[in-house]
Order: sequence, then C-alpha cells, then structure tokens
Amino acid sequence: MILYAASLEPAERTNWELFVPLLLGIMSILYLLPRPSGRSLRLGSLLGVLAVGAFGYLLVAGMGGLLEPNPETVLFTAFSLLAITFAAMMITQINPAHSAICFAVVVLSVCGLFLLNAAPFLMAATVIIYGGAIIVTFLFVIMLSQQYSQSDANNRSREPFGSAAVGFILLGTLLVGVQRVHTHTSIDTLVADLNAIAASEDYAEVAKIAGVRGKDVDSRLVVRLRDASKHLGLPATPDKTRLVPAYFEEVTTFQERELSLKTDLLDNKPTLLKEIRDDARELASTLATLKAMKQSGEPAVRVTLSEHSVAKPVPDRDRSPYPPRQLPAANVSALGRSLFTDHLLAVELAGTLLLVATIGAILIAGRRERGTVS
Amino acid sequence: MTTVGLPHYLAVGAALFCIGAIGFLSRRNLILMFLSAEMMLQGVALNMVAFSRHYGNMHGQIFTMFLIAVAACEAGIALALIISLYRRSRSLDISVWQDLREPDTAPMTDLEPLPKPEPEEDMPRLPVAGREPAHEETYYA
Repeated sequence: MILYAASLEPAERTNWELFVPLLLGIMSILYLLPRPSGRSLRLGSLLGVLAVGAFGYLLVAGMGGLLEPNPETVLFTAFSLLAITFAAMMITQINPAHSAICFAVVVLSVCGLFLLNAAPFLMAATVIIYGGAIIVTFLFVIMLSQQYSQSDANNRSREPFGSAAVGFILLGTLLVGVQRVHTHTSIDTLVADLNAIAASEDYAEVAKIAGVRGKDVDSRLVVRLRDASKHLGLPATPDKTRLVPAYFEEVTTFQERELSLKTDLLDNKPTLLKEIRDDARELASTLATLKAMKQSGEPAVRVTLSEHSVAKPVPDRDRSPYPPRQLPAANVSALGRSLFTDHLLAVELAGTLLLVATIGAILIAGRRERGTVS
Repeated sequence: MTTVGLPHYLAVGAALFCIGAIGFLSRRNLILMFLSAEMMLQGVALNMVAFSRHYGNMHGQIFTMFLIAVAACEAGIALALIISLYRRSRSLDISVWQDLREPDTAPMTDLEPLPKPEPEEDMPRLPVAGREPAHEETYYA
C-alpha cells in the first residue's frame, strides 16, 4: 500500500468542488450543536442531509462510478448511512442518555460492516464488549448527571465553529487521499492509450496520443507512465534478492521499455514508429499485469511469516492471471491460529496492559477524600 | 459500475473518525467526550477490518482485536477519571478544570446565560377543606 497521493493528471486535479460538502457539513454541525440561545434542528438536519448527499456524489464520481446493484451494495449503503447519521446525532444530543442510545446504533451498524468484511468473530466481540460499555455509560449518566435541569455541560458547546472546521477539513483531506490512492481507472486509460499507439499506422496519430511536446520536454505519455510507476509503488532500483522473481521480471521490463519509449519519443522521428509501437505494446501488457499483481495483494517482497497468517487464494484463473485473494467468511480458526503463532508476544502484552489498566482504574476511582468514611 | 471495495469502507471509517473528533472537541460533558473517543476508535477499527479483507489475510483483524483491548483499558481508566473528577467538582463540565491552565492565560467565561428552565406545569391541588375540627392531640406511634 502506498501512502502518498500520486496524482495521475496533476493539471486536472484541483478538488475545488469538495468545498461544497465541507461547508454544508460545517454549517449543519454549527446549527445542530447545543447552545444556550437555542439551536435550529430543522435547518441543521436539512444541511446535514445535503452534506451527506454531496459527499456521496463526489465519492461515487471519484471512485469509479455507481455501485453495482447487489446485496452487498444495499447492505453497505444502509449500514454506512445509519452509522454516519447516528454518529452525527450522537454528538449533537443535549441529553447524554440519548447520546448513549445513538452510540449503540453506531456500534451495531459498524458491526454490520464488520460482517460484510468477513469478520464474524470481531462482530460478536464488539457487540458484547461495547454492549457492556454502553450499559456502564448509562449507569454513569443516571448516577452523575442531573436529568431534568439545564447545565453548562450539556447545553453549551466549546468552540463549535473551530471544532467543526477542524473535523471537516480533516475529513476532506482524508477523502482526497483515499480517492487519489485508489483511482485505478487512470491506469486503465493509460493502458488503453498504449494499446491505441501499438495499433496505429501513422506517426502523427502516435504523436497526438502520446502528447509529444517538443525537443527537450518529456511527452505527456512519459509523464503519465512515471506517475503510474509511482502510483504502483515500483522500486526505483529493483533488487533481485529481495523481490519475488515474477514481480522483479515485470518491473525490469517496465523500466527498460519506459526508457526506450522515452528516448524514442524525445527523438521525435517518424522512422522510429515500429520501435515505439513495440514498446507501447509491451508496456501495456506489463502495466496491466503489475496493476493486477498490486490488486491481488500478492506480496512483492519476499516475506517470512507462518503459513497460517495468510488465507489461501481462491483460484480463478479464467478472469485474470492474478486473481484478487478472497478471504473466506468462516475464518475464526485462522484468526485464532494466527493470533497465537504470529502475534503471541503481543497477546501477552495486551493481557498485561489490561491487568495494569484494571489496577489503575481501581486506584484512581477508589481514592476517598481525606476524613470521609464511605 | 464498480463493486463495494476498500475505498468505500475507508471513506465511512474516515467519516466516523472525523465526526467523533468534532464531538470530542466541541462537547463539554465528560461522558460525551468519552463516547466520542470510542466512536473515533470504531472508525479506525472499520479501516483495519476493511484492509484485512482487501489483502485477504488476518493481520487487520488481529490488529483490531488489540485495538479493542486498548479501547477497553481506555474505557476503564476514563470512567475512573470521570468518577474522580466528579467527586471533586460535583459537575461533569470539562470547563471547570480550566483552573489547571497556565497562570498568565485568560479564563474562558460563558457570556450567554443559560435559558430559564421551563415553568413547572400547574398540577391540580386539593382545595382547602374548611376549618380544622377540634381533636385530641394523640399520636400513634
């Protein structure tokens, strides 16, 4: 996973349109947060619905179009909308008991999303643990807060504009990052362009598709290829001893062909048409293979881990040479085996941490004021 | 047309995280701040589980288990702190603890007054039933 945002068409990415949902969201939270002079629930929720819609539209537009109508899409949409709606309701409730109920709905929706992601054990564990946590929170609310009177704690917000702005700007940044890292459509268009070059008969057409820009400037195609190699996280100097052989071979082919295409296009001579076409054909196939390898999650670097930690790939040779690895839904035993082989020390440390936290909690909460009995 | 994939789950996780951050920063009730922090952790856990499915191995789910363990520790300590703070100040308002600020910074004061509580509803009362009759002063214990 590359964690930097590689933009494939730097000139065309500005993301100004992201400010619309950001502003809508900030205003919605501002109207909904409790304040002594009263809040506007109706306006706030209207703005909130508009913000969620705008965010959804931008995400659908930026992540490869509409989702296929299948059960997973329906469940995903339902659970995620529930989670986000009740999350917004949770932070804007005046009564903390209502907040606890909203938090319960958020947790249950997230559990649904866990189940969609083939994590049945975590779903059950989260329901049990957070169910207990929510009941304890309820007890605290009933014990500590004055239910029927107004208080500074519940009816006032601290810096509502600042916190809403910080939260939504962070959200915008994260979403732009996610969208840029996960846009594979641009690689697809690059492969299509390379194939078009490989099939063309005329040098003028090649120069037009490749975007040749004069004697000393790299053509647009070469810039796009460089961005794509950054996007796929290809190593600059592939190390034969560290990389998986198939991956190493593809990377070296890609880099050789890229260099030769770059020099050919810089020369800008119609006599080089055959070489350019060969390079383009080879580059298209290597690029498609590298993209499939990256999506399948095959490790490119030789790693040593116990074999239990990795689910066996489901062979589906008809679709692509490197099918995406499928995680089986019944994976509780694999989870346990990996937990107690690969991560044994961490399990022990987590147990110690829980013990220390228990002792600490008892010490903090059990301290009595001096001179009191109970 | 695409299928639901990693980026969609990452987007939902980011939304939960940021809404939780807004709640943590803007609310003044200690219990609500604690719940907001838990919601941020839920967003992170969703990310981990989605990565686990994307790469087809168990590491993300195992990371989530450790995350839940740490969240449990955090919940225990946080609730103990809430009890201890409540014992000292008799209030769940976090702004009470601005006494701990640097000596040369100005205190935060609430300018807007809280609205007056709604007047209590008039409940029906029994009418005065006239003069109290004479009776012996006897008490039954």
